[in-house]
Amino acid sequence: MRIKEAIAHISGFKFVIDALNIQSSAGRRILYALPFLKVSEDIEREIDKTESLIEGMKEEAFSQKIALIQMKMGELRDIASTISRLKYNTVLDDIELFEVKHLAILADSIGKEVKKLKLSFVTIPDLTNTIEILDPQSKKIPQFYIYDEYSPTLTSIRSEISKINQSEATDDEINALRLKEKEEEDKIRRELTQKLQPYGVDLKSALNEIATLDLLIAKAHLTKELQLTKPTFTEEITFLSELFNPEIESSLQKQGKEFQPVSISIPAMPTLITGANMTGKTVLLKSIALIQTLAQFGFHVPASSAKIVPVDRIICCMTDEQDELSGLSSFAAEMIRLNKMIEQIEKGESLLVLIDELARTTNPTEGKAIVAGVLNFLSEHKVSSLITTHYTIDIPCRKLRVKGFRLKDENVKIDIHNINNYIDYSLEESHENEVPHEAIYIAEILGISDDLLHRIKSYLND
Amino acid sequence: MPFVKDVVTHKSISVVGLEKNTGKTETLNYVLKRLRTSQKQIAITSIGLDGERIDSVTQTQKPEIVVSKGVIFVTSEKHFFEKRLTAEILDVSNHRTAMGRLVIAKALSEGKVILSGPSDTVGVRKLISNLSKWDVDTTIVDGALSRLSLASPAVTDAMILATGAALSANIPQLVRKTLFVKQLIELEPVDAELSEQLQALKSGIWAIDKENRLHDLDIQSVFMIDKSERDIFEFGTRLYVAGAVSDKLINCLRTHKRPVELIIHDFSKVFASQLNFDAFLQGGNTMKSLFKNKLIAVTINPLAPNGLMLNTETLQKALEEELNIPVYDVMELQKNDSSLKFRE
Repeated sequence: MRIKEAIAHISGFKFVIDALNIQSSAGRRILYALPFLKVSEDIEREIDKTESLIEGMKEEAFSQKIALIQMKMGELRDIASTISRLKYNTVLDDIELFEVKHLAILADSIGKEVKKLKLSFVTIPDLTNTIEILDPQSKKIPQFYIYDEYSPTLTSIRSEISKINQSEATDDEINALRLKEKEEEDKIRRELTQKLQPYGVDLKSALNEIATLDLLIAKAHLTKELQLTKPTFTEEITFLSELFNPEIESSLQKQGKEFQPVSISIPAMPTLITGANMTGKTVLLKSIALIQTLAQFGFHVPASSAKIVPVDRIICCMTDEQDELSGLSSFAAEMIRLNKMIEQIEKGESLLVLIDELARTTNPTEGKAIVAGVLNFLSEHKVSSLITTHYTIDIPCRKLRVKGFRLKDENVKIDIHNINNYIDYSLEESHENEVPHEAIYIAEILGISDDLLHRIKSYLND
Repeated sequence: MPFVKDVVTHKSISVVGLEKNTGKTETLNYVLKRLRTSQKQIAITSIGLDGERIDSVTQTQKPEIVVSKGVIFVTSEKHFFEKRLTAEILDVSNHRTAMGRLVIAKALSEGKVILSGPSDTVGVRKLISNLSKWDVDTTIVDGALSRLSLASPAVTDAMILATGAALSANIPQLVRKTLFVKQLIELEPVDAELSEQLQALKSGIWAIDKENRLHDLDIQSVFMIDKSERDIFEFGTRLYVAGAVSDKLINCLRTHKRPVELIIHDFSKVFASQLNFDAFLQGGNTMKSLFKNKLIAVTINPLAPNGLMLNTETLQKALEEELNIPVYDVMELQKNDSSLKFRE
């Protein structure tokens, strides 16, 4: 999985990525190339980098230096393609030479600041040689042209041109001189390119180191802003304490509501989650997918504490508008996804499987059988998986139930605006097979027509 | 030449031709030549791509601007490499045009360059303000005037207008047309805060209520204004038109018989005739624009492309009387001034 796919498929991930305040386009390039890490040590190493910045930023002086570095990063241009042209010894033109000089001087100045911060994970190579090649006047300013200092021939041609400009010379004479100047300049460009070539590797590394630091600083700020937590990693059971979903939390806050954090453990076996409608089962699955994704891309996560088992792949089976567009019925799309999942499990990949209301789009008799079959398969293969359902499933497996409605207080009128206040979104172990029957009650709260309600109830009593 | 002295008192100034062959490039080159001895830091750029420069069909010659030593110029990558002078690259902006990024460079010798610049109004404004980083005192903008352009030369503080026989071969008519443009250029501006708000609107017709709140009137095109079923004065009689101001629009507003304050983006968006414009104002309505602008001089080219030659002196006098600003024939001035001899 790449960041782009995660943005497309993991709900709430785009919100977090958009909240990253990356200064440079090179920093964004690094972000989009981030690997989905599968080994605990790799993820920890990545997260520790952000963590050490967060720690450092608690100090005022450190924080100020970071702000200064960030400001300079705004000047960074992503000249990766220019640098690779250098590698193949293509002669650089004046704009490219300017870009190289600009990068070298900027890297030099950022490098000095970074050194003071003593960050073990950023090494910006020394580019003094590059600067010297492109700065024959030793002015240390990021401006560039083919300087007279590069060649006495060029100096004399140019002085001739300026002399002739004031005399009565013909156009042809001037053009002839301009041509000579051009030839000499081209020769110098070739020489400069050749001289710069050995430093291509350093330039590329400087660019990428700065860009990476840009991303890390943005991650550190993001962690503070969204109040994310450093996850730890384990081989056994994932445990997420007080997890939340930043996107939904922010939208609730705008309405003056609160997000109720939920805790859950995910062992290497299937867990069936039941609960009345509107009790946050889908949001729970989405938030878990988000946390797992963030962690494995090396981000902090939205929970008060998180112990996570890294997986090879996250499988989300949720309603997707794309299905209809690709001409599949929702049932067909679900079956195809299930089948892919089975293939991956059989290949021996470790998965985190999140399925929202499995087989809900078909008849309850066969639907239940499908759920039971899938549970049985997942259980045999010890797959960490969460499946929500409204069906009554009576095969033995781990079952969690969303607590749901707190009280049915006759004095308070519950409606669509305050219903959230009366739902307890937390989970409890459940040993009952029967699922909650509150659909009609909720429909009533939502204010559906009395006529319809009356008719529904008459059938229920049958 | 007093108007050149006037040029450097402005932060930015555009040179605009009312028609092709009215001598805009000559005017620009003339101003630049006169500024050679100035102590001020001059920068020069252009608005978008002037149609004639990319005209590969007719193969018309591209007008080049003569830049003297020390002047900062801004042009696209493509045109930068076609320059015929030595120049130091100061910066390469991230702003992309059809011809590559914009290069900000300083001329280290005198020579010719083709200018191209940002293609939208916001880009031009940003560029002008960014140039202050290089201690630029005055930015001169080669201002293309085109219905198709998203950028308007109105964003500069002041303007020089090139007019001439190419616009009309009849002197009284030429004077009337030029005067109308001057009137539009110098429309009273709205206050800065409202201007910022309105500049953000890219299209549509908007009402502005007493508290300066904006309301979209949901009129897709100005041509639909008389078909609108809602009361366009629901939020008051102050209206902003982001796009073109046509005869139809003006007449429609006029017939409502309520004093309307019509705010337009800038003079280049007005395609209504002078007759309708005058009738609109006489009906007690007012028109304002988003930008404060001042016309500091008019230059004339008495020669029309078809060979017709107007009398320079008569034309100059007639214009000066009506416009009350200096009017010059730059070709004539150059003939009489040996200090301006320059290789072209």
